Amino acid sequence: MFTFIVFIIAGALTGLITTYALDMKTRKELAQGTRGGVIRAKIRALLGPKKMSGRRGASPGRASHRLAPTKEIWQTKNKKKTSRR
Amino acid sequence: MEILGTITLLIFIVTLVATLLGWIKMPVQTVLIGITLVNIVLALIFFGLQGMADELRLVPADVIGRIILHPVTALLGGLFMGGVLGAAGGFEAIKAIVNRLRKTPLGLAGTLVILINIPLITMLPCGRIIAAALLPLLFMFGPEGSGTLRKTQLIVFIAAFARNSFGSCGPSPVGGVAQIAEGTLGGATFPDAAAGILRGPQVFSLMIGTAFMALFIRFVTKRLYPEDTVQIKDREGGVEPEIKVNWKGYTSLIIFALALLTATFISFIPSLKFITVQAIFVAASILIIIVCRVSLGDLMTGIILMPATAMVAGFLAAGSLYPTGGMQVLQSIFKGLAAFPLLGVVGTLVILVQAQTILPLSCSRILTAVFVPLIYVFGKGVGLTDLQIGIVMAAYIINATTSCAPSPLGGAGMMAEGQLRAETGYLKGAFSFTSLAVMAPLAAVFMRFITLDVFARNPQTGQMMFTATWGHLGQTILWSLVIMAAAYGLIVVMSRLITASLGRNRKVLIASFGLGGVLCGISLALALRLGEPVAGTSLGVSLVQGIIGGIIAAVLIALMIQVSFAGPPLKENVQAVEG
Amino acid sequence: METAWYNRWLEAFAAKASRPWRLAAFTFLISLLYPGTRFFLLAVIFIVLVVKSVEYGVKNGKWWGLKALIGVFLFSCLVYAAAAAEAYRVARYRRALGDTIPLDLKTGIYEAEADGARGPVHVQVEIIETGLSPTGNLIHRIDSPLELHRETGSIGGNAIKELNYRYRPGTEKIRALNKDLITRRLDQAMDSIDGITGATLTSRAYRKAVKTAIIKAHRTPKKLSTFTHFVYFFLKNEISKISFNTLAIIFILIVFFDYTLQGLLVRGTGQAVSCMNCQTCVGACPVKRVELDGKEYAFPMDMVLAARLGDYELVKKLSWFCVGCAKCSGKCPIGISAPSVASAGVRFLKAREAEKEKADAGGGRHG
Ligand code: SF4
Ligand code: SF4
Repeated sequence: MFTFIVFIIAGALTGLITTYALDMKTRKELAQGTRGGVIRAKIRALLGPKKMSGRRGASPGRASHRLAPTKEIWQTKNKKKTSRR
Repeated sequence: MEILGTITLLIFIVTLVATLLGWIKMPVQTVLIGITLVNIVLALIFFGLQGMADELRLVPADVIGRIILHPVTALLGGLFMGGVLGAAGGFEAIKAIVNRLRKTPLGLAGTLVILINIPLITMLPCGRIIAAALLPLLFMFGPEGSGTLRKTQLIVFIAAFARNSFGSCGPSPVGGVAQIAEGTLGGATFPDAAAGILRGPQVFSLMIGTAFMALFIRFVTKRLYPEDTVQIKDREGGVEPEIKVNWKGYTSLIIFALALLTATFISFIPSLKFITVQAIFVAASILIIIVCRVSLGDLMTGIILMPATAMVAGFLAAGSLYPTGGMQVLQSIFKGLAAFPLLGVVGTLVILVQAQTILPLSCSRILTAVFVPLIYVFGKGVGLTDLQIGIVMAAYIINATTSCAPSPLGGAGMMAEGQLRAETGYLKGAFSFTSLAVMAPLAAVFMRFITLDVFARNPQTGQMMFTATWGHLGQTILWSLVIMAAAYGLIVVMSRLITASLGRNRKVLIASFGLGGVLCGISLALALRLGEPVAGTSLGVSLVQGIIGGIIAAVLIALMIQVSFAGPPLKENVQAVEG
Repeated sequence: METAWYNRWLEAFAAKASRPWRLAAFTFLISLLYPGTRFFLLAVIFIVLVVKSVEYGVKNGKWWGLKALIGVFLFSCLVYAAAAAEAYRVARYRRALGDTIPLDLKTGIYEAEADGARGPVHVQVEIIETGLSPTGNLIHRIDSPLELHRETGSIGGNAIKELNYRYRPGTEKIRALNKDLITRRLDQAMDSIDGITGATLTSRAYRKAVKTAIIKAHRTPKKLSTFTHFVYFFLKNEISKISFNTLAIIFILIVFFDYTLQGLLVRGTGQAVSCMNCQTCVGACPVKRVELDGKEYAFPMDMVLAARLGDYELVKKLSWFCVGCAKCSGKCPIGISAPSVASAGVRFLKAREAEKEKADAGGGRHG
């Protein structure tokens, strides 16, 4: 949740800054830019790893799967060896 | 062992720097593989002469064994996906969708902001994929296309987009650069964290870094082209970019989005854990190939080989440093630096964090293979806590992933410069500056206050806990605002000082980079400090150390970039459009 | 300039081995390396052939190709069924030896020998139908006719007599042995056969002979035949066992490898392999953008990439736009020279065409 809040704030702020840097300085354009930044931040917060949104507790070992395929290749190899024996 | 390690390390560093400075004109990958071979041969000779049979036998296995397959194959999967998307017209669909956004309440400004951040949303494993596809569209907003944007605006726009693209490879779940570090941290320190402990800080600092890139370039460009104040064409009179998209584009985009979501959320279904990112993306790609009838030849044109070869070459070169003892030597060098009272642990860490920006290679994956284990072992060696190592790693990785942008070796930043027809080096300063002064500190702050609290383990129960409070949130925002304000001030002052004279600009640049380094040093020292005392030093001492380290790193960075403030020719294009 | 032999060789290879053949070769190589993928790769090849033959049939109205493929399919189903049946039997037998599944014994008297202390120990095992065990048959008695070996009178002879007595029909020992054969592995069951104190060698030979006899009595052959081995070389790990990830990785590797290989095969285009799509050359080139056949190309980067993929027709078309100023090669961070890559590609294309013409002319003379 905190991640979400920080992202939204950062999104709004950067939207504002970017619009300003693009030399669009009317109030309407600045508001539009901010809105764009917020939307972008929301999408991004959604796509982040869910751990970031502050869930309590975690099932053990959930994360280690990212490194799994390396292991798996060797494992299948080993398995084959044992089954051949 | 010591001698051999020193020799191999020297070969490694000298060759890399020579390549960087353009003395060796060869692709980095070739150079790295050359280094690897030379190092292996040296090791074989050395061990052979000493009669160390065991070491001799271990050399090849050690070198090959350093290639971590998962990031490489995930990267291949992502590149494949990118190629398929491009061939099926998925990027065209993105363009069309974004173009439609302009008619919503978001308006032009909001659309441009989203467009700049598209790479961060799609999260492909290499920024080049999306940049190659979208850069031409971005130009259609400029004076040569619809004329919606003035040339100076266009430059800012492209620069910000480039910054966003060439950092988006960090947080990618498909073979992102951060995965290497996440694996290292997740394996030992935060057992549950390999799924993306570094993604939060990356995204956060990349969002802000993008905005600051825009600011930096805006001020510089404004100084250089004060006369560019009028629209070249009326908005009404301009040709709107016309984008033809068929159903294939949208279909491929939908499949891609589904694959991305699946890849993100599949880790929550234990029974499906055996399906990995690679498999998901290959399956999605094949689905697109079949549904949209993409030919293999079309597909391969869109694939960018370079990151994959760079990654493997980097792993190999790093691998050749291990059995020969080069890694230990490198480690002891940094240990020696840390023993130096003025620099201390904090100063050394600041330099280490900036290492990749100092040595910007065409793909950050090359050196990540060397530095991630180095930082981890060094941190453990000087007595950092796990949390502190996490903070350093976050700052390091954001710096690493963004380092391909300012690289003179065909780094991704050249893509934007080439498209802008700017002199090589026009955007480089801004790229490095945002990495140095904005992104690394912010990543450290975010990591410290938000992310690490999620991933911390309760020492009593061993359970994951979430301890962030509203106070932490407030501190994050406060610190971020302070850092951003300082960086803003730096940029404004610097842009006031630059003129058309190159020599003077160089001095201004070095000075402002130095100040940026100070900013980085202070914030890193504070972020580390807020955990526990760093290696037993007091707050004041570690601040001073951080500042000194930051200045050294910043000056090194400023010396490495050949800055030219000669921007893209404005006049020529005006004439071209008029004529 | 004299062409080096390896260059000639490589170019000949590039001209002869077109992409489908190379992919097939890769596939074969991978199938040798990764047993888990063989079935899948075969299936892919088959499906591709089916698609091709359907296309051919629709075009020419001739369906022999598809018919032949269906025939091949049915035949391979039969072959696979035969092999699978054999494999099933072997698997059951092996499990019987290795696990706790009962032996499937044929009725009859089975004889076997093993070396004892002074000569071979000869054993007869009689198996009768009882209806008690899951397979129906059990050991009725174990006998070692004294006239058939030379251990008479010695310690060994007495031991054998003793054993013969213990394993006569209907004893407690025979029942225990049968129970062991049902619930335990063959080796363990044999261990439970009594040893006679003072006649270790003889007892061991007795046990060994009994074991051999029981194996002889087993219904199935011991090993897979060569035929089944051959079939199973391709089909051993069916799709369920394939690791998705291995396949995904292999697929990507094949595609990547093949598409980079082309550039390396043809002289002069090898440098294109290291192109990193940085588009610096596009910035430097006065041409920059080319529209060809409704497609837009970033020039000259796309020309270099086309050379890397081996699309020399496209290279040829694109090279017409180059004005030869070489600004691109000066700017390229790794020194790729787009015009020289393009000219090498075009040269190769011409050579290949010339060779084809020659071959066609030659074929005409003979025909
Ligand atoms: S040599 Fe050809 S491709 Fe290269 S810059 Fe000149 S015109 Fe462009
Ligand atoms: S400049 Fe060189 S490396 Fe970059 S795209 Fe062009 S040919 Fe490729």
